[in-house]
Amino acid sequence: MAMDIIDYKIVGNDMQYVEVELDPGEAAVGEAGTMMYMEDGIVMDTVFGDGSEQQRGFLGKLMGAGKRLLTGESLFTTIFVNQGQGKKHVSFAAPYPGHIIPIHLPDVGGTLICQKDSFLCAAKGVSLGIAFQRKLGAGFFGGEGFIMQKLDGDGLAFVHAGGTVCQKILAPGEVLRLDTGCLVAMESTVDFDIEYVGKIKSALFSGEGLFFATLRGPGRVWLQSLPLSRMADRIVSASKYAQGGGSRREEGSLLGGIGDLLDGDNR
Amino acid sequence: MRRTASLAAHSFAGQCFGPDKAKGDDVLVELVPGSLVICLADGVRQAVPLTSVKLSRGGFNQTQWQFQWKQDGSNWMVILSDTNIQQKLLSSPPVGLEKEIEALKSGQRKSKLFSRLGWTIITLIILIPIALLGLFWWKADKIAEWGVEKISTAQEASLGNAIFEAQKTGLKLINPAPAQSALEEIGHKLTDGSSYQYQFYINNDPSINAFAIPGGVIVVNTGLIKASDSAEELAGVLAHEVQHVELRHSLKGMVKDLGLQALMQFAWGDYSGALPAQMAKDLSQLSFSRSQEEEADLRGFDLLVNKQINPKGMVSIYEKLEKDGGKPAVTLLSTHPDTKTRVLQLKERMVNTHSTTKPMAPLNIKWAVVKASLPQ
Repeated sequence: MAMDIIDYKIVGNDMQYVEVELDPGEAAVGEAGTMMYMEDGIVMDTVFGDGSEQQRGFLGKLMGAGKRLLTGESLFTTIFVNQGQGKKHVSFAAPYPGHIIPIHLPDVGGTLICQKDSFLCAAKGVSLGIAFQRKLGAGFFGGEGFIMQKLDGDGLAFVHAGGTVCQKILAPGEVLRLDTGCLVAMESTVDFDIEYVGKIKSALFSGEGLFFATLRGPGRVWLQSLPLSRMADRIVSASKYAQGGGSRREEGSLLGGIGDLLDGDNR
Repeated sequence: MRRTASLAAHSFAGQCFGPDKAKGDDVLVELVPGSLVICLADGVRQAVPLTSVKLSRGGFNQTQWQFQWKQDGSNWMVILSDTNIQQKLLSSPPVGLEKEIEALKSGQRKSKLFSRLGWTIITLIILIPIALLGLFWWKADKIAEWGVEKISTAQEASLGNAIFEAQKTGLKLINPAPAQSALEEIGHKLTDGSSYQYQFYINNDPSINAFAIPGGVIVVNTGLIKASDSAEELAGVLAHEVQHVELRHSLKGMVKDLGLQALMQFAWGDYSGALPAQMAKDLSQLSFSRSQEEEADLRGFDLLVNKQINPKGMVSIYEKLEKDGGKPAVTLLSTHPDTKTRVLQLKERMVNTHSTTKPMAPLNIKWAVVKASLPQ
């Protein structure tokens, strides 16, 4: 099946959105709730499942939708079709600070394994599946859980990651150790596993947790500098509602409590 | 004869990764005796001696085979991800790679076994509590019975007293002389020889009802005495209630409802505080099961016959209650929709026992005096 080839523009620095250009008749699928704006002529349709036409029949659709539930997404995807004259634009916004990575699936061998929740939008025809992590250790301690997302097809897909994103190219046999949770996506040729940090002292005091995620090449991997969970931890611990109210982190002013009176943003 | 591997070349499509190849190149790979030949898209053929090739598994979930070798100081790798070809190579290993493929096979088997074992353990961890809960739910009656067996009569009696104390506030207990003594006379006649110490009380309440508390407290409403036309009729209801006590029906029901908590407290002998209050509340909401009612009916009937009290009274009062069944005042039978069946069963029992027993003398109680002694 021919995928829709779409042109796009990623706008913004840290809170990005992607604007996708659709020729008449072309379509894009977006994760529910990410659409930012669409131009006149684009018709929105919500479908059960992931909108790829590989799933025929009711049961197939049900399966597709069920799989999406497993990866923590909405049961429905939204399809945006250009039914007007000329090129039209629709855009999808990132849900939290970070970067949008465009990935042309043929470049990664047709399959991309990515963290669940990271899918933003794609050309219609890209199929969203689940990749089940069979290694128990990696599933439990790898930071991504047992269920990851698998994007299949030969079109363009956009995934979103927190903070700054970096792409690493791993040579055959090359190993990269990273904090569990910092992995965004990888080619299917990359081996993902976990490794115990090895020393009790660093396990307890380094603040890095007990395990590293280990990526072994060959292939490309995409890493994020700020997993949402890490940011959420910081926000919660800085909140004055944390730990039963009262305590909260200061910005480091020497004035301490008096500074609070002066900085004016306390209620 | 030892089966020799085919000498013909194995060829498959793979992806070749080298030092400056960010993307794997699609290549055709041939395994000829002694070497691995890579045919690049531009027609260049490159042969690598098999002795320097290492074969291992890798990729996401270790589903790929990786042929790895070193050339000019850098790593090269060919990835084979087609499982059909992997199977083919497994069944007829190419010459020179037999050992590696055998190792791969056992490694694959081992990791499959390990992962299966892991998942089995996880599944068991999840399933066992569910199974236990299911078993508890399914066998709740049996478990309650087993628990109830552990409770002694003395424990039951002190629990019953505590419950009775808790319920007393909601009752208007009276003891008009002829009625109270008639009740006790019938009651003691029925319960003579029992391991329970029975106590009988009259509650000033017009609804036709009587209830038993575990341990042997039996409370009869004035409404029931007024509805009975003879001492035998009251005896019929009493026999039924006595059987509820003897068969520990309410205790079983409460143990089932309160579950482990109740059992623990029984075991510790702690009846003070919350448990009796909770049980008193439970008791008022507790309805016996259909089978328990039937059991109490039939055993009660037998008890009457045993104690030489005419069981006709039991049948006639039940018939009366059945006729009045629609009225809310009759609570004795109202929770049980099949009163008709119960009456029929008793009648049947009567026909069967009549032929074997001699006629019984009526109870020597002046019923009109008893009824007259009750407050109007």
